Amino acid sequence: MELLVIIFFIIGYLLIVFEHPLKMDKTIPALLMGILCWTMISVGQLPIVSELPGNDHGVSGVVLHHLSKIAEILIFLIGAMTIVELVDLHKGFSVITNRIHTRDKRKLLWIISWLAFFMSSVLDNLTTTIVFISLLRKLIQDRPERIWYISFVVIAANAGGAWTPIGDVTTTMLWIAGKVSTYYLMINLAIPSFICLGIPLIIASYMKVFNGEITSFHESGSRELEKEKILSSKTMLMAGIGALIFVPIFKTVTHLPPWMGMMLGLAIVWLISEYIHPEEDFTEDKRHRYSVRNALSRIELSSILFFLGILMAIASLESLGILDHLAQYMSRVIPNQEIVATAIGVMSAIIDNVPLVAATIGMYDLPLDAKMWHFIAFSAGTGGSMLIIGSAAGVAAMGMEKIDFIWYFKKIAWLAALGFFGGCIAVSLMHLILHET
Amino acid sequence: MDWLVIAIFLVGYILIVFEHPLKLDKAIPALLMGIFIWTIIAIAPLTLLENETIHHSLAHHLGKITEILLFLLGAMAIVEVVDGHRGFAVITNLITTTNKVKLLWIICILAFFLSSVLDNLTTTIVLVSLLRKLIENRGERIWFISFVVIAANAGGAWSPIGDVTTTMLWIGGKVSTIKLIGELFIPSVICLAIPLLVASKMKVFQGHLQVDSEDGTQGVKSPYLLSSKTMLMFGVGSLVFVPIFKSITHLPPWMGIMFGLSIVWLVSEFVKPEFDFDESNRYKYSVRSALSRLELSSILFFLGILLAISGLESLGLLRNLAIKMDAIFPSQDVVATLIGILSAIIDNVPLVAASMGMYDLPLDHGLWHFIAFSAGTGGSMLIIGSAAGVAAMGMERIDFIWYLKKISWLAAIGFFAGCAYISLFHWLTH
Repeated sequence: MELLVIIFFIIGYLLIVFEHPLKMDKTIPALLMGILCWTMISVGQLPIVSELPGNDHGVSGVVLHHLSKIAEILIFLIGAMTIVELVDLHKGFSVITNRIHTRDKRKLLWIISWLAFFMSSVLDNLTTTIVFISLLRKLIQDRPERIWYISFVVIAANAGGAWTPIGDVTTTMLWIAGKVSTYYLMINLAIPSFICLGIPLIIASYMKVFNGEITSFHESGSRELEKEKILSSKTMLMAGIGALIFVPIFKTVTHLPPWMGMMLGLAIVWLISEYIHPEEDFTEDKRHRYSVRNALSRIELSSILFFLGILMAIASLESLGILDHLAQYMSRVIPNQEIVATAIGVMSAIIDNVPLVAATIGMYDLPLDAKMWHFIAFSAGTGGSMLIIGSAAGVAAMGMEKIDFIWYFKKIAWLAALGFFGGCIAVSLMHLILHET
Repeated sequence: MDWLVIAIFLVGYILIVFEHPLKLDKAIPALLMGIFIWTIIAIAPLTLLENETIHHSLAHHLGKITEILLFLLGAMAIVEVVDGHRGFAVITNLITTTNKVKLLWIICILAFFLSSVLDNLTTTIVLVSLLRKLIENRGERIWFISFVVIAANAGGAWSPIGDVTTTMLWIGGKVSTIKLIGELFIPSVICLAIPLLVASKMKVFQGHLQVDSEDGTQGVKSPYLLSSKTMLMFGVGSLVFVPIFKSITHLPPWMGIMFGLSIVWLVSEFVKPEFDFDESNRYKYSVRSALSRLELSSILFFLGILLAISGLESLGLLRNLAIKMDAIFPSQDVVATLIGILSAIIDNVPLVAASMGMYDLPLDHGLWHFIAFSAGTGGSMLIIGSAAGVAAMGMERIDFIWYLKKISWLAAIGFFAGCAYISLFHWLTH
């Protein structure tokens, strides 16, 4: 019977991977496999690992335990996505992007990349990428020139997300599950993340494409951007970013889980948005456009349900002790955990990094801030840059600009790989240094 | 520090009640009060019931709350998908009568059974849009709509998937499907039938509707899509399947509804709504577009309010309230009836959540059935008393005072007759 659960998982996973050729939304197989795996456990009365909390109430107790863990992640994501959408509705990000005026190619590359890096450490990678692609579209008209910049935005967004607890889904998962703490995560991963972006950037500075001035610089483009700001842009940007940064602080002060801090932030940003005047002639009919209700209708609920399904499926494998067996098997075959973590990063370029990280959380029973957790946070966050389909940021870039898989593979993958492996070495070294002192 | 928690709850609650005059979305005070209450519990280390640790208690409550939220999310999504494919037109197109009394009965019975499967809000919206096409005279129409509100609330009370509060009791393990239907079906029928019988003799419902011309009935027929029937069948089928799923697998109801949603989603990806169906109109009928139409703010409202109530529960405040109320009122039936009356004024979700925390009674105890009935149907007595009423008020600008004068007494007769039946039934069987 356990075999059947594993088969369901593998079939579901294959359907998710082949989402595009099958033209089937990946949420469907994700939800189905999550539910069918648990149905097998419940109907087949499969033995559940006894240490799990809630086991004394039978399967439903264990499901409730997992659901509450998963809900912490989902509610956190809903809150973060809504805040970001709301700031975007108020054109808050144009406050930042408006400041770019340079025409020098190399300079522009550095500015854009570091801006994306720091933005994605607070916002999610997807939003950062979308904001910068729309900015670059206005600045650079020539598409072949532009896609180079966009590829670097993808690398920067992924690197920037890895080192903060609120920057990326996978790092957030590790943080919420109590595997990493804000402070140690940041001092351990800040330098590796810098390196992960720095190496490709330095190499690119010597490349021919980034020499000289942009020929197709859109003169009126920057003026057009200036117009985009509205009365509420600055306030909402400050409130939004403030609310996101406040989440780790809330956790430290109250010891309450992060999703509560995020909901508090959302409630406050929501409150501000109800009383703010985005335009001079602000009437009732325009009100809806800038409201939280509108922002809520724009967040991707299907990806929330996708996470629900896939995390439930992995929870079922964990409950049956399958992940534990896998971890034991892997540590026998590959004795070095660093290699395992690096392999996870390489794999995350091909398959979704959320299930990968969820599985490793279930696999290893290591203490808070163990080296392995930091390593996984880094590699699962940045490894995806090596292929255009490897990260949410990359997929968004591919969708918006029709970047070719092969083009990215030929021109960018090696740069991203150098950064990734450079970063991996840095994580090991950082840990060595921090442990010495 | 207990008093501070209670004070925050009261302030938050007052802000929620005065949502409209304050022009403040009620999800904001709900979320804030939920978080503040738990923050105080965390910072000021208050002792929780049975000396649980705060993390354990919070995780437990979050799990319970998520079960309700996911259930609602799934049910709302399925209904939206069916509506997106104009599935409900299949049912509403069957109505052709112009006799007023007959129409009233048909509409009410339809609303009653629809809302036992769908949520009350959707039922009301579907039937209000139908009535708009059938009856042009607004003065006449609002009578029918008011009865749709009564019927939708009565129909929701007796089935585990018909109404938020009944669903909460079901998910919380307080009532079981078979017992619930057995105990509440007749009172729910009474709750609708008595107002209907009285109304049949009233002057407003005599005679025939004026239909201007042939195109009057033509206009009623909202066009079918190729997929309407299929999606209606799968949608309603998957909703009805949820209790069956629960009894077969013993897994919680939210998993059943998510299973149903994924099946409906799967079907919707392969169904062809129009003859010339291409990529451009694909999004319109997709589940993604249905998901974007969901009222997420009400989900967040529930999250906040249920969180706040779980805080009160963990501190043992609800248990104390129940002890006090038992001392004041001689019978729990009175308490349950009171909950029904209160639910006409304040939101019934927190009321039921609070009573679930107050009483530690076994599965299918009589009080749970009574609460399911009264919290579900008591709201009909005021137009602002139920989600269905508020929707009707919003869509047709029904006046609070008009409803109070013309409809409230009818709804009240139905409600109290239902309550009396339940009390009597209990008294006779024990």
